[in-house]
Amino acid sequence: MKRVILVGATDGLGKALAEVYAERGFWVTILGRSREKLEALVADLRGRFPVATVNGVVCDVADAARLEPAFHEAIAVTGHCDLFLYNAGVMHGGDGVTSVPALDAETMEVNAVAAVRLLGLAANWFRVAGRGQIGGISSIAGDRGRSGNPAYNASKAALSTFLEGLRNRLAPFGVTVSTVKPGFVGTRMTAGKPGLFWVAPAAEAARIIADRLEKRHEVFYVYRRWALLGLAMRHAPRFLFKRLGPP
Amino acid sequence: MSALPPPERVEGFGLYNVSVSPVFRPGSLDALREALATCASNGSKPVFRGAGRSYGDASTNPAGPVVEMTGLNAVAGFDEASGIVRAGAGLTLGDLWKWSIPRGFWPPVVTGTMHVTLGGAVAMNVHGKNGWKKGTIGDHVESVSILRDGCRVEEIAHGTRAFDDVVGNWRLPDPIVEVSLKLKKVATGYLDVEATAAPNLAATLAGLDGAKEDWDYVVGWMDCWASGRSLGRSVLHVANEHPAKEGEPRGLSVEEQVADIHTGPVPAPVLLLGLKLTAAGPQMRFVNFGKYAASLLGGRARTRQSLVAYSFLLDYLPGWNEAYRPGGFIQYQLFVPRDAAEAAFERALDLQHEMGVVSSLAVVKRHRADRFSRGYALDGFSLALDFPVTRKNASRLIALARAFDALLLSCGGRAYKAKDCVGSVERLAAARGAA
Repeated sequence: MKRVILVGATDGLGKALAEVYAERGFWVTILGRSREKLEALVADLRGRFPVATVNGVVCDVADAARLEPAFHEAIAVTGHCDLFLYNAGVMHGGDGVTSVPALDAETMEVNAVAAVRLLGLAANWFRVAGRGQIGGISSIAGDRGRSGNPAYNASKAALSTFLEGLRNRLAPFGVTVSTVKPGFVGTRMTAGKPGLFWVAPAAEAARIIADRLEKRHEVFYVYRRWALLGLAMRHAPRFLFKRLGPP
Repeated sequence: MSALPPPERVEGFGLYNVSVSPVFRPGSLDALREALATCASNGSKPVFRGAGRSYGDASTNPAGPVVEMTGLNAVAGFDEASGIVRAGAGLTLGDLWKWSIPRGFWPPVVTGTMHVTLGGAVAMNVHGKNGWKKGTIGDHVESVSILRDGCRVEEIAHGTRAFDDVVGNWRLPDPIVEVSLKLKKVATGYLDVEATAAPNLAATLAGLDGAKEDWDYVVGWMDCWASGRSLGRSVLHVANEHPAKEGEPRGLSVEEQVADIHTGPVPAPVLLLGLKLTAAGPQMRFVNFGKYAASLLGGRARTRQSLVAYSFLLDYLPGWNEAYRPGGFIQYQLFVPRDAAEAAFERALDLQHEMGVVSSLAVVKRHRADRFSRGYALDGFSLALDFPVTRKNASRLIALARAFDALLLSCGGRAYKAKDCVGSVERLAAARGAA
């Protein structure tokens, strides 16, 4: 019976999450950049899960002017919203030593700035509604800056900290804010990357995330062992990170 | 251009549906005009809300502002000879009966709560327990006045096409501002109520059908937990006007009407707490069983009850819906043609058992066919069900609701917007439009 709005769900983990919620019969509204992908996904989910109410709203999160209208459109077609989940994200690989300012800026724009804009709108909506849940797919990569992709680390750090602030701001209004740090998930983003471990298949990761959001967990990883690694990462001394390579 | 007021939480009565909307509360026709002008200048289309007693999303607006009409609640005129009262659309049935009962009149059709507005009642074309004899409220409305295009008041008489377009139109573009309703002259404010037990579904439907000509009010309280040979067992309550007798009180005062409302020896706050603890739990099974067993023990008992006590059971415990927070609850009312009713209701009960979501309160009524093109009532029966929404039952509950949709589609049944919390009315319309 939940009504869920997913931002960035035409691919990867977001798509898997859309499937999980559609399978549960819920209302699922997907915001995605590509109209073709969006329409195909909505048609597919409607066909496979007739109990669910699936809708799509075209929205390129890099287009700042589009965010507010898209947010209101999403609320209107969903009826109301119990969970607003920001999943849009990009990761530009590189050679690990050269910064590409244009790509770094885009990373910040999609992963952090657009998230701040949309989640801010959602936060205002939920504060008045006095219930519900906001979530963001952040990353363990946001816990420390690494040599491989400083912009990605920074964008996820910004998202995590923004979500933490919203959590504290909205707690008195009965709204839960959850930060998800999935760990490695088997999607296009991670495909072919060397040195990965504990990789969760997207469908399994999505199911675990949906279950833990349902239980209103506030900060969590997909596999619990990541929490230990996260703890170690956050407290490891700086000199260690100078010797560690990517990711 | 004036700005919209700050957004507020606007909830359906079931507390499951919610919108965040700017809310206007006009207290006069001019204030209403001003509110509509503000909406228009902001490019937003408002939804008109009465007292917010629809269970679902009918009076919320996810896409814009809400105009609450309860401020337009004056009684503008009354003709004693015909019984026609003209009143603001925001007047509630509660205000109306308190005004009319000392004059010897009672609204011809009332809902299970007195806290619905006249405008909302017309826009939903509500029914009561006298659905067979008296139909829906639209049958008794002489005329409605609409504020057309935000400026001029236009009176629309019963029987015209424009009238047919207003009754049961819950997404009216223009608000109803006044309603002329033909009240019923009553000799006393009392009813003679008879309660009988019907041991199964067939007996329940036959009992209601058999009583519909001899009794004005006919309703069954079904125990959805019963299964096997007892599937569909109910307590039937039928009632007729109590005739005036020499030397007997006539009950035509607010005090006498209210005096008949008993919640038993337990104070209301304690009952409310009890409800909160049991509403979502299997304990309701025993409440239902107890109710049925009591009626068996009582035999065919006849009691005298005030109109208010008989009609407005939902008002016995003010604020009862709050017990269902945080998830709220949903209603589903299936309207099914007479000949299809037994099979359809049997399936509706079986589905609840199969999915493990059983309605804690179920009401069966007999209806006559609706006379309006946006109508939902048909010559047949309705079964109204309510279900708390919890984290555990959410997936099963929505699957159940969609199974009810499919059931209605297959047997030519209808859903009712005042009870609709999950978009069934729209889904059925879309499926029928596509077919």
